[in-house]
Amino acid sequence: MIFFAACMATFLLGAVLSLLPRSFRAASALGSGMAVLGCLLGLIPAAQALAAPQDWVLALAWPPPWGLGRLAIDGISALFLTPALVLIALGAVYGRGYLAETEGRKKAGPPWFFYNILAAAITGVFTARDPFLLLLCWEAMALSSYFLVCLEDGDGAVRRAARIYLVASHLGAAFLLVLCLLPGATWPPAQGVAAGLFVGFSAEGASTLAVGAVPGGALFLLALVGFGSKAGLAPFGVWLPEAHPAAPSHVSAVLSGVMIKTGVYGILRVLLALNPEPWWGWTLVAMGGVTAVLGVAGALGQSELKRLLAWSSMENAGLMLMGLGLGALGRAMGAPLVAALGFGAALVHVVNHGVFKSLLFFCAGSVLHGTGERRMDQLGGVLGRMPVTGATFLVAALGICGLPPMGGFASELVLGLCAIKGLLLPVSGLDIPSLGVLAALVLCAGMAAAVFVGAFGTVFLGAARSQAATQAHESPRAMRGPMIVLAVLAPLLGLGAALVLQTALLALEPALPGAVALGASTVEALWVAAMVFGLLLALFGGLFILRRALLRGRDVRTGPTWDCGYAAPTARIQYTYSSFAQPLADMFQALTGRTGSTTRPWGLFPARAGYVAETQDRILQGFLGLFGFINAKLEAMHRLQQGQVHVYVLYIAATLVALLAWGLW
Amino acid sequence: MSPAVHLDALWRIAAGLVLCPLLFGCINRVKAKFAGRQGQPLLQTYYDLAKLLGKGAVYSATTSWVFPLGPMLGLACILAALTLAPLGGQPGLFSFEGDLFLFAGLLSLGRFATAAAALDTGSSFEGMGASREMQFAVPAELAQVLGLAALAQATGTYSLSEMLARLDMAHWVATGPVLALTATALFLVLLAETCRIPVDDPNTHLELTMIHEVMVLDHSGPDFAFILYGQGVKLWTLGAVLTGLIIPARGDALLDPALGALGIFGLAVAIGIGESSMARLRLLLVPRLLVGATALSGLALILLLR
Repeated sequence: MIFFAACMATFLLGAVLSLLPRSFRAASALGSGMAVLGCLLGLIPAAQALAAPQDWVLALAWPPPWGLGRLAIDGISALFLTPALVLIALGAVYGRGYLAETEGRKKAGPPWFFYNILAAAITGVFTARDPFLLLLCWEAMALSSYFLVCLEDGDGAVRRAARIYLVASHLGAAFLLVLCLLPGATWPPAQGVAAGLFVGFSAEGASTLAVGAVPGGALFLLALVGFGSKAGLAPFGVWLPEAHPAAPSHVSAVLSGVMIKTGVYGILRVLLALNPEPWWGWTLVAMGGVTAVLGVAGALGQSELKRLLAWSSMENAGLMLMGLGLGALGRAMGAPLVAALGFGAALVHVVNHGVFKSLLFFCAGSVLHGTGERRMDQLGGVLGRMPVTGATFLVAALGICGLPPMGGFASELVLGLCAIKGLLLPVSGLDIPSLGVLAALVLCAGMAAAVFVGAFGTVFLGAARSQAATQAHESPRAMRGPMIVLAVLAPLLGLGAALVLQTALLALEPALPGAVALGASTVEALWVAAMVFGLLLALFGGLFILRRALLRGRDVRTGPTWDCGYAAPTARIQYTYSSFAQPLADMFQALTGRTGSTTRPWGLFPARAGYVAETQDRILQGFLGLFGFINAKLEAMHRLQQGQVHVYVLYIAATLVALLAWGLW
Repeated sequence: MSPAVHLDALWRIAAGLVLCPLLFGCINRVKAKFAGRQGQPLLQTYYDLAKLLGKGAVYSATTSWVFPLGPMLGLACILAALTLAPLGGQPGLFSFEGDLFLFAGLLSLGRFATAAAALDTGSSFEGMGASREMQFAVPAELAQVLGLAALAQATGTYSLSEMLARLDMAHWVATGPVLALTATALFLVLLAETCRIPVDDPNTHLELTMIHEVMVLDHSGPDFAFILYGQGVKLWTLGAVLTGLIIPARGDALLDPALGALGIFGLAVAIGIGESSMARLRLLLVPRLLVGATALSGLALILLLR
């Protein structure tokens, strides 16, 4: 654990050190270098805990007060921590290249200060074993990420997004505050031990303190809202589609690839530590399903690449929560097979989604960096000028759609298999949620495929739709490197998916005895699937060679696109993302509301017409309306606030008299 | 059942690879008979394939390396899916629990590659086709997976090969209506996946009305041969799963696959009759048809819930 202590110390030191140098380059080198070093140091104990899941506890000779040094890594922590550290390190490398263009405009110190604090806080959240420490890390994570989100604070939209994020994350944290600061609270919570404090009045009028156990259901609800808001669970995750696209891309990658998982982690801990009841699982499955479908339907109706990715993060968080829901149902109803596979599917998806989503945000950042254009409908044909970005985006897109041979397919297979096994088990009450999960999963996979074909095709393929796209340039090496690393990892995670599932089941074994044995047949199935992946790649290679051999020496010509024989095509006649996604988005209009804005041709000589995909966020509108309503009603309270001391003295006196009267009566 | 590799499936796969172009000849012959024409030779698709494989190719100047990727990946995917499909109750080359997801995933990957290649041409028509294909795939995939899940539930197993091997006459007697619902849903999915009437018309020459065909307008030579052959393999593969459901397995290692193959040709005849007797649906009605297929699959699943 000395490495782990060194890791945390490196992050904190890096935070401070990056503020010191005056030169932009020195500060960014120091900040990103320390973040990478810290991640490498932290990966050593995390990898050890993955291989042999035993509690690695940080033992300090001089333990700090209030449980501040109570950090430990078990299998579950390690499973979240390992991808997190890898992604944070890659994000640091990428960020150095990405932020280089702000030289002279902004200082390098503050972003790297907050990045290192964020790294330390996330590491802390995954390893804390004390409720107070958890809360502290949680808050540090929320605040540092807030400052990172509003890095480009010159832009009003960014400030608005950051403010929504700040409010939402603190509303969520309020629920965690209760969960963590209940007297006798522990982290992870313990069944029946967590005690609440009830103030009551006995018959004689003397006040007494009664101590009783808080029901597990209440703890679950607190965790669901508190952690769920961080995970992007609808309706508490309204901030997610706003904040993730507003942040600089390396930060978006960490927010979507890592920080969402802190919410999943919290809920998983609660579900494993307490004895779930069936309604917990029902709640998670229902809310997860709604989040997933809303997320992908929202992604259909976006015209900016980063916003689309943020909505797709919501979808994936929903898939993970559905896995947790099936797991909870399995535990509650005595079906350990479903419990092991459900939790296992969520864990496998945590690892896979981290890789794909970070890579997608890296690519989106690279496109933004290379073209300066956020709107997909203005891009096109960028692949030729940005080959690395385009190829890695394609890999990540295949992964996020759950297509073979990427790791995303493995998480889909495990979750789907868990649902089918739940359907087939003769346990009443498990079949309907399983059916719901299966349907939502396949629906989301199909829609995600449409979303990402459209996005890839519009941005990278076809002809350039604007000047920005024709002048695109590939990103510097510091940005390409992390993208290539992740693009190599994605198919490896697919081929080695059995290992990932095995590790996840091993991590679950202490909480779910027998998980490894129950999941063994699924692990074997994933190995055979990997054989099919191998066959697929071999067939592809064979066809590649065959085609090349056939075309060698033959007449291979280049001409214009056929396009119905129309010989003067322009880039503007191409399908845009908006028009590509419109028919499918309209199928879900009842769910998402208006999906786009149309400019109809008008007049005797109509000049222009257009359609831009633009799904409104109904939940956010609802929350804003609610807060506006509360604000308006609370206006009345302003009258009490006079700002004059004697009026306040009058309030105190009146209160005293009222209390006296009540006591005497 | 533990996951397994059945090497004896290789000859069934080989039979599929050889016979699948004949399916188109069969469909065309049926349509010709209905129209009172002589019709193409039965082996026409083989001649077409040979001709295309011997040609050069023309590529649009707009395209990139993604464009030739489409046909190659599309064919590789459907060939890999063929290795999972059982024929006449005899297992496919690979079988493992949950392989129905890989089956659907491979079809989806092929579709992804084809649509990406279509968008790569920068053609408005091909963009239109890609958009429609991806739209229709959403309900079609849902109907397919739910239908296969219903089969899993009816037989109590988790892999395609195992399901269709277990599906005997007793199942049809016990849960006949439910299996009929599933078969209907899977037939509609087959029509959508292989772009036949009433979802799509492979023979029309107006690009506006086509879905799959319009996506492959710019492919030529060997690339187009891959696409054409891939279509044949797809029809064979989906047909094998569907006939495996319709014709109950009897456990005979020789007779069952032969019956299965005959069943696939029967399906081709049925498709030919369907294409001769009705027109293509209006495009706006196609999603409704496929959502209807999803509803049938879902209904089958719900009826099987204990």
